Amino acid sequence: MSSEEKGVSRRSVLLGAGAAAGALGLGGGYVASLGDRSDMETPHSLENFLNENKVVHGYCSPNCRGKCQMDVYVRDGQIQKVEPKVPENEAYKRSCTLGLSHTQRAYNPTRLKYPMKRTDWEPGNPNTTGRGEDAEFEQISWGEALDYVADEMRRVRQEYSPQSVYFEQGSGSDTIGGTTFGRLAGAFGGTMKSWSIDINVGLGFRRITGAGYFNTPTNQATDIENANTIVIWGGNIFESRFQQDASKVLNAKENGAKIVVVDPVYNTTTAKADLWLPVKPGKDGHLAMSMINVAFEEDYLDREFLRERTLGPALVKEDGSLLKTGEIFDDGDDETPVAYDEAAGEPVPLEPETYGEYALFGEYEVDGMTVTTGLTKVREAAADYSPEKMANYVGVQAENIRQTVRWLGTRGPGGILTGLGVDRYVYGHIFGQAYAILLAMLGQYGQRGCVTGGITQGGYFASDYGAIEGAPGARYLQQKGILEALEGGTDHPIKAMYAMCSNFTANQMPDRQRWLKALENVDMVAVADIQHTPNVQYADIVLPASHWFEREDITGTWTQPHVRYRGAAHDPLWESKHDNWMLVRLAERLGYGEHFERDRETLMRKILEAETRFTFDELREKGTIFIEDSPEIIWQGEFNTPSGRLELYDEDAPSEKGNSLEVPVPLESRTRDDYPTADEYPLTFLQKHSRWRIHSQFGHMPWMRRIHPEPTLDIHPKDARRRDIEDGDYVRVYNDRGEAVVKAKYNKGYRPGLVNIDQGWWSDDYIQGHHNDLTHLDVSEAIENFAFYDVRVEVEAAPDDIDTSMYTNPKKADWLGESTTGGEN
Amino acid sequence: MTSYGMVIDLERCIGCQACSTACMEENNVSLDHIWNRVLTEGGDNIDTPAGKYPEDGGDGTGTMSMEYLPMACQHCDNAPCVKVCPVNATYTREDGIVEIDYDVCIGCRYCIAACPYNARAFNYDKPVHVPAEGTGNVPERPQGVVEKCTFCTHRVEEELDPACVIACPADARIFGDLDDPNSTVSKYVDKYETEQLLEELEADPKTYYVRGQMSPGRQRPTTELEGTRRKKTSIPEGGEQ
Repeated sequence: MSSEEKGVSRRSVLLGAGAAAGALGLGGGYVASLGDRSDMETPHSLENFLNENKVVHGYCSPNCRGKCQMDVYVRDGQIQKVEPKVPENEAYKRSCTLGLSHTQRAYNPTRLKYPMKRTDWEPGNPNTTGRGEDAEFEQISWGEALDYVADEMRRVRQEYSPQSVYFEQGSGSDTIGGTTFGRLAGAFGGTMKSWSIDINVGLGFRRITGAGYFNTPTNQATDIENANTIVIWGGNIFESRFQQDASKVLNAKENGAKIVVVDPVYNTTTAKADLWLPVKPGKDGHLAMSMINVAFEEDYLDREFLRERTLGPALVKEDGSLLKTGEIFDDGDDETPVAYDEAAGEPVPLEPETYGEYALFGEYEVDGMTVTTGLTKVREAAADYSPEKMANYVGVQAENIRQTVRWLGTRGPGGILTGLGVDRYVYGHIFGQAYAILLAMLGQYGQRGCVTGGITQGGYFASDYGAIEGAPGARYLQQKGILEALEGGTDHPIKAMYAMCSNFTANQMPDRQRWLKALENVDMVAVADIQHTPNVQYADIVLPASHWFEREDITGTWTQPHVRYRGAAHDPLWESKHDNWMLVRLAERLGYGEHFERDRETLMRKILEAETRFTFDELREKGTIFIEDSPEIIWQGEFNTPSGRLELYDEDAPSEKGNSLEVPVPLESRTRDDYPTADEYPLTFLQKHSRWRIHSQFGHMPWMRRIHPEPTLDIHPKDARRRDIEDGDYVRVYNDRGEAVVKAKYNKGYRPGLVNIDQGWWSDDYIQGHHNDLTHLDVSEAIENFAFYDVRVEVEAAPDDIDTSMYTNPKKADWLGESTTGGEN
Repeated sequence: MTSYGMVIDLERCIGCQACSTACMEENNVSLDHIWNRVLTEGGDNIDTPAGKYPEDGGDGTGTMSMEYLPMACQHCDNAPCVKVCPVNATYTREDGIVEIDYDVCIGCRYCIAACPYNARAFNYDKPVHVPAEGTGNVPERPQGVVEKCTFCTHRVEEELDPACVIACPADARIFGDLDDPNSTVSKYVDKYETEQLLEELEADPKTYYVRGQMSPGRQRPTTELEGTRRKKTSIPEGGEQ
């Protein structure tokens, strides 16, 4: 209600104020009767629209692994607000700052509105160097767009092969659209990618335990509160995954758990630690070996566990292979290892989940062979890693290394909660192997309160809808292999590409310039996305995808044992469509229409057909269904390894740089002090996961931009001053591959010698350059995981002639004040 | 009597700005303002610590520090803003919430000068939103008036907790009746080391900060105001869902 309607104008009140004050004889201090409203009978009621909302089931689905269920409030056909939903199992209510701000993502000014074609692209005349920042687009119809894509795919299949068409699925959203995408790629026989990102520690850990890929598994999240000691290693829990774990880790602490944080950076997670191990970048493997050394020396060994569930007692021959029962028993085989039973005084088969008085140490003669135990080999490997010897090298005081192991070894169930930081060093997988062994020595598997990694147990629905029977199936290349195929160096070079929910090539891949160059070999690039990302600028055909809250969908997730449903808040804006809509019509054009389903609800029902625990209707009504079968405590029973035990001695080990890894041998790449370019590029460079975006998603959100308006370089004041850089100066970060110009941000939390630019900033956010122009494609032999943090750079003040006006003198955005929710254009 | 107050457990707060963002969304706050800001207590820049980096490998948790301080209107019992408002636009309600009647506010900004917590914002310009239509459950305020945190009175009157409270992923915010000795806020103020900001100014804020020992936080996942009918959403008429 305006003041005019109330009959009171501000002007009249202003004129009155002085007179009133004077009459009361009060100069301008406390005005008693005017200030006292306690005699009002009813409190003044603010106008509100709470009861006019309708709530739509929702969930967020970027690649933070959260898939947090949300309540979407809709009024007058528009999303007004998003709140965390209380799921069926109420302990899993959660969400993060980004999920709560979807209103600004759904109505973001960067949303793609209609299909477009790059103006200087034509089939047969792709003009591939015209892609990029300066590319221009013209609006076309959906029919035209899909015709272009289908025609080019068919032509490439004809001229080259089906594998020359690359179906790139990013991690922007992977619910039923992803299912359809995989089905189409398989039907076509195209190429899909498998990961070269974030699988390092997981795969190293997997060699010992039989499980692990993206990060490593642990008990259901509600169990974290039962841990007595939590070592958060290489993970900024309270910044990059706070939606799922923050309250549970805090509750553990409130229950008396000791929190140890292993990180080169003092960040929000470090700030909550009881003990901080400020490890130098890249030296996590060495630190883990040092902890193994302490576990032996101070004797925290869980002998019962080692005998029952690990290859600690397994006999190892001089050639490094395990002794097998077939070599010494007539009825043996070539798989089952052998242990020395001290009670019986003879070697016996070592079966899974079987306790015996097996020797854990020692050398024995068996049938003329000299053998020792697996645990002895581990002890030998760790012998040179005493904390006193390693302290300077790893950057952690010896007593604190000992204290950490002491807590893990004496306070009962607990463990190591890993993030993805260590993954991003070339040899991060060796850390995965080492910490798996450390926990095995301490018996920290399979109990309430154990923490063995970073991925808590999730929940899924059963489905047999996926590949089409008889379809050729897709060719899978790890991402490094994708680059080779783009560059033309393989049997089936990539000549056409459809990227769905992906910002890889133009923004997220290491050694970015090499990817952009490789793309010039591709005749047709189609990009489907919600927002106009940097990848869109490298497209020939642009396909506008609807926002998640504009489509019905179902998904399970890892880290949280619910299946969830989301409904549509309203129809997709402008001409945007959900991914299944696009892909089905593409499939029809390619001749696979009979295998695809246009109607989204029918599709969801098909996908859920094999699920017996609940129906689609039940799921749709409730919004979330708790998956009770999801294990609370894992690592029960036989391990998924060749021996069925924890293979703390791994006879099938790969090699790195000539080192065979039956037991861990910590290795480093650029983080070595004596690395060849260490003098020229003395700073190690990481690009951490920001709190204000999920990888490159949630870009251009005004609520987030006000917190972090532009890319910054976190740099310790010492390093900055040495380079004549003041806090807030613009700087150039560079190495042989490229540069990035950003604003310096003094941050004492960074170890001197380490700098950071958050990853996920879009190329158009940079004044010049890009953080991924600095990273490289060197990977380990064993895992091929991109090593984003294993990078060296130097930093200098930015040259005076660099134009920083996009931030120092910004123009008001021309879309401010305009409706972004539809209407004419 | 009812006396609404807020307890914020700084040992739990992780500085994620979810409360700050949820407030902006719920209350349709212009992009020019902020009602609930989360400050960094540490280095000069946001999200940076104070102290000396332990290059000797020591445990810097003793020498480095970084904490977060969410700060909005403290809803003081002895509010300076209430005292100075010449037109009685700012007043304290029966339930203790300090409220502004936007229709009466003349935009003189004496209250902004009086508030020691910098909790108030003045609409120098017309409000700006993305999306342009605004968000949330409260009409925007016009140019020329002062605005601030309302403890979400529009929600409280419908037996719902404020937006910031249900948004917090660390369960660090608890809202309730300080006059009820059995409420969580009363119990926490009693049991834990709490402080009021700028206590010496005697504004008697009803926002208490827990420091030192961590509390269990807000232990309810549901949205209702403590002591009222259980609710799982912010639809007051919707009943328990």
